[in-house]
Amino acid sequence: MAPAAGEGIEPQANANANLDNQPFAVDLSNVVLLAAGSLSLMLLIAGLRWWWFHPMLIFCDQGLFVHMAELLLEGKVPYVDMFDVNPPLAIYIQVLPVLLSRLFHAPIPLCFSVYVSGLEILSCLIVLWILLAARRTGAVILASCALIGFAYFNQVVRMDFGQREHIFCITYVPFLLLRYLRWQNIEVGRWPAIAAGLLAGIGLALKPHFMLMACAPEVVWLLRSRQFKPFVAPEVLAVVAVVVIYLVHFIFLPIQELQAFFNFVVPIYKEGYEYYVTSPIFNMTSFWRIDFLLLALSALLAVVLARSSSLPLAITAFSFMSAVVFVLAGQAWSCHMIAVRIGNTMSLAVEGVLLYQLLPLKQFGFGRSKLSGMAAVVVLASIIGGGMYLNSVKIVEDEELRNRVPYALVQVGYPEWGMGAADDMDPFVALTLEHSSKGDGILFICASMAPGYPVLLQTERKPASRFLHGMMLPILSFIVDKPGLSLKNRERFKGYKQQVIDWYTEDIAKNKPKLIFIQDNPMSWVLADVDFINTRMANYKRVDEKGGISIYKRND
Amino acid sequence: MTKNRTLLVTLAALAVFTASIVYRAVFCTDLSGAVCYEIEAAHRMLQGQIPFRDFYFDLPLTLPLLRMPTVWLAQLLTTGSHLSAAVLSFKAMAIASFIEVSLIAVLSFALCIHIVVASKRDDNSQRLLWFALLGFAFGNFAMGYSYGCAQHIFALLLSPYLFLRLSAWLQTGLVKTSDAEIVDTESGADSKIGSVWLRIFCGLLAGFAASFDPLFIFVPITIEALEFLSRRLDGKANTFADEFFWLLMFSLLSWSYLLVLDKVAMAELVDWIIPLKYTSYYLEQMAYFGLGATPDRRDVIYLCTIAAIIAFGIVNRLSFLRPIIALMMAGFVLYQMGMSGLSSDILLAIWATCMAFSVEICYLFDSSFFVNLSRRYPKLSYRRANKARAVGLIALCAVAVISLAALEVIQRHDNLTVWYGPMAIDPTYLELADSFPKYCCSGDSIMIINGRLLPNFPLYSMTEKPIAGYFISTEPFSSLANIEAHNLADHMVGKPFGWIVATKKKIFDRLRSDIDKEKPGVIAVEGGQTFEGLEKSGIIGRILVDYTGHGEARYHSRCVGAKEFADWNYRYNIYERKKADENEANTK
Repeated sequence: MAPAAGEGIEPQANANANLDNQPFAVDLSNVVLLAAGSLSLMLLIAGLRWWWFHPMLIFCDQGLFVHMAELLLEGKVPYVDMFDVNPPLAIYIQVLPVLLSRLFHAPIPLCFSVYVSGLEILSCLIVLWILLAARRTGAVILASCALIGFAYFNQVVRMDFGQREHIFCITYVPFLLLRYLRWQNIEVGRWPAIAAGLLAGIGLALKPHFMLMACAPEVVWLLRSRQFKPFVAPEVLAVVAVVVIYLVHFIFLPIQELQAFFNFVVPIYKEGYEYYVTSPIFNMTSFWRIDFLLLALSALLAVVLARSSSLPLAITAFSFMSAVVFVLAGQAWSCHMIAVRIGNTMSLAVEGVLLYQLLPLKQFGFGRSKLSGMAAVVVLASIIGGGMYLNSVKIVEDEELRNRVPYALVQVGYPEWGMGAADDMDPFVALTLEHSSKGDGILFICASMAPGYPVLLQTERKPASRFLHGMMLPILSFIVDKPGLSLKNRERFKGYKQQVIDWYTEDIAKNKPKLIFIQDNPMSWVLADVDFINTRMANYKRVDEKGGISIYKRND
Repeated sequence: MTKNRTLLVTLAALAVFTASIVYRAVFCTDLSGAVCYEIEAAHRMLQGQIPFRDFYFDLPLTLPLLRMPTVWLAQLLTTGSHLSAAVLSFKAMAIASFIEVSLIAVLSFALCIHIVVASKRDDNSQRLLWFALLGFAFGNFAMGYSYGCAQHIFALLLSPYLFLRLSAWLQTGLVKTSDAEIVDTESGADSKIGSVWLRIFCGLLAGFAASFDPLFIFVPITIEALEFLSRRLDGKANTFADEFFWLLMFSLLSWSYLLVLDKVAMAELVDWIIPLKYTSYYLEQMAYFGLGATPDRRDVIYLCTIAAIIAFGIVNRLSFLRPIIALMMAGFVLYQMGMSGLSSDILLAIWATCMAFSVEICYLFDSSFFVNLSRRYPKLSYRRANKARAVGLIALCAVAVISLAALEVIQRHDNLTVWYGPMAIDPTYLELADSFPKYCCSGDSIMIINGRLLPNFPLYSMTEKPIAGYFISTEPFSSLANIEAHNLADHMVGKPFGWIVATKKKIFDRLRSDIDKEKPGVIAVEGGQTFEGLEKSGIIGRILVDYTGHGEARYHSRCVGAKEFADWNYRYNIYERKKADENEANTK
């Protein structure tokens, strides 16, 4: 009789080949953790140092959320007194840098950079705390490599430093590595698990699709180990608790805030999301071709090394799902690629050390113990790589210092912080400083967050409207002109567009902005429908034009 | 019982494969632009023209070689029609292409079946192979309106080779350790399957297909390299596979036409055709894809990811999936490198995804899931579990076939031209396709200049009018414009000083001379970058001497079956050749 059910293919062929839970000497583990931990912390501290010398540097999206947090602390209600499309957690998590800024009278961009770098270091320390539990197994070596990859990637992030996707990755990585140990049935203490879970919960709640990305590694491990027990673990409960608390908090929000978010902001972005969408192949090949090729490479290597470890497979699954989210989102924006790139770096780092097994060391009498060899590789790479990295940092810094044009921070109200770099200041800062004073209201009617952000933060001017950026207007114009929209919906969105223009009118009359920046394309023609400039801005004259943006100054 | 299960999969594979051919027969008059381009080249070659010298062509010549039987067949089918020898009837061409591609598919499928049967593996391995063949059948079904494109033919001709290798890797990969358990072995060499002639033939087919694109050869190399490393890590012996040797040899041989190519043609190829093409990829030629509206094949990326994630979870138990994942990743890379975003570039990934899903279903059916289910629910005996498997397989196949068929129908009806196209915006707009019959006399040739291959093809073929002159694709114009836009100097594209200027002069002179000699009845020039380039070089001025402008015609289509095309600028200026007396009057 032929073999019965359950016959094929299933039991793992060579259990010994799996290095994840192979026994490993504790003293060697300590050396590996020390080396990898030191290198990772050094990389992150070097990153922090770079930001420290750029105290005014912050990019537009990040600037917006920090500013919203500042306004929140002033009592402003999100989606009523300040509009954006993101769920409120993106604002809440930026409260800390604002408080730091107030406490130390430091520029907000600097506090933001310190905060994000601090988060990176905290994440790294939690990983090290978690890995102490895995000291008796081979998992410690592989997870250490992933940690180095994580730290390496973080210190190269510039434009997306502190973006929601970046914060998600920072907060999620300890959880990912903890889950790796959990699925190998390695006992991890309750407190590090809870810490990792709480941190990851915050990151995961930032955007709904982050959950999808976090599910991919779990599916891989579930299929590989075929056990459900790891789903009931302190870190999972902690994540669930954070998400539930976040969801419950909506009940306690002011009713106007909820109505504005769910009945105004969400429908507009849902209907008009296409406005930002560019073709998938353009998104994939225009800027990110190398990253997608690296994704394919890391997937191939992960498959080759599947018998040795599940970690590269799980991280690659995470990268793949992040790539799906990137493709789904439909833009070539770099922030959407962060998770893919961080996943690639981490999995290639792990695969790099696993490829050690291919070295023909046995012929020379070495390589009897794979894990010891790999440990030696990690330690040596940490020492040599660390030295080389420090050297390169010095060379880059020297070069940067030679070319640096200093910017006296006294101009933006921080004399005690000495000099910053002129390149860090937005080109519109000088103009804003020239035509306005501290505390003046400024209005940016532009189709993106820039240049309103970081100008408002760098000059510490007040936003003169509930619309911190003008994205909503072109989206509404796009929706109203959209073929195939039902008559009812067209009327509805026409009403919304009129409402936005009325709110702009009301805000200008009430807050009397000193300067109004209007982007020529597309804002001028969007506003031309109602002859906005002549009818609503009679008291303003055009003083300048820069980069396709007209600047109007109030006649006082 | 196990044999019954294998038989069921065999029948399912045969049924799905037959369905794929039958379903395609319903839409056999569809022909993708890329296939039309290759058929046009084959047709010209059969008329005695030399590629690169007498007409522009930027693909390996094995592709026109592959299309020659299509041309012969189309000529047979066209016999007696009103069309001149210079053009083929579009319908005949499409039917001929369908027949040729389907014959290749049948040959490939039959070879794969032969290999699976000849491999004489145990029941479990056989079943795995049959499930992979089921994936082959689904892959053939999922080619949709890109049926017959280079990647499809490559997948078909690579498959016998792939099945040879899969069978070989399976032989010592699985051994029976107890009555109820079969596991991957740790050592043992892969073995030869079939006769030497079979292996040579499979190598020949795959090697020939690998020459359809310079990147295709990396697909079998990636699969072999991945398996080599994996087996080495698993402590299994790697032996030399002669079919791989033959694949490499025949792939090299397929390029040997370069040695006997006409000297002028060779000079054209090396001097500017390849450099322009390569530079366009390097510079991420924007004209190849639309910024806002390439065909949306995101569905493939999603399915590919799901298949990959499941495969990651089980690949350590089922090493059979390894080469399939390698194929999938290679397909994904090809899609990236192709940059067009068209369905024809993602076919290999679709093929591998179908195979991966099929093998994963096999894993599900053979896994302890069913066993545990029957243990947990005693009323489900093993016998019923087998019935459940059979019903599950039939249901899954039916759902998959219906979904694929429905998806294609939906894509065909998802004709965005209707919603956003010229007729929706203003019914008085002229469709580009309509401009040719409107302004062309019988026997006139036509010329479309837009800096891309599409939508010139299949429009040229559908209008059934001869293409005027050398440029059957006008990609070189946008490639040059792209180089100029990037302010690249000659040395930056690896060429001697003065190359860019000389190349530009050469291709514009050629275009000018084509207009003078061929006297196309209608010239359509795409607005924007292409138009500006022609205007600067005086071509538009030259056209206006003999032609009358008729304003704009529009082409706006996003994902419409075989007309799938990346929109970039869809406004075409239409010029109609003045009548002889009109010209004389002008001259006087």
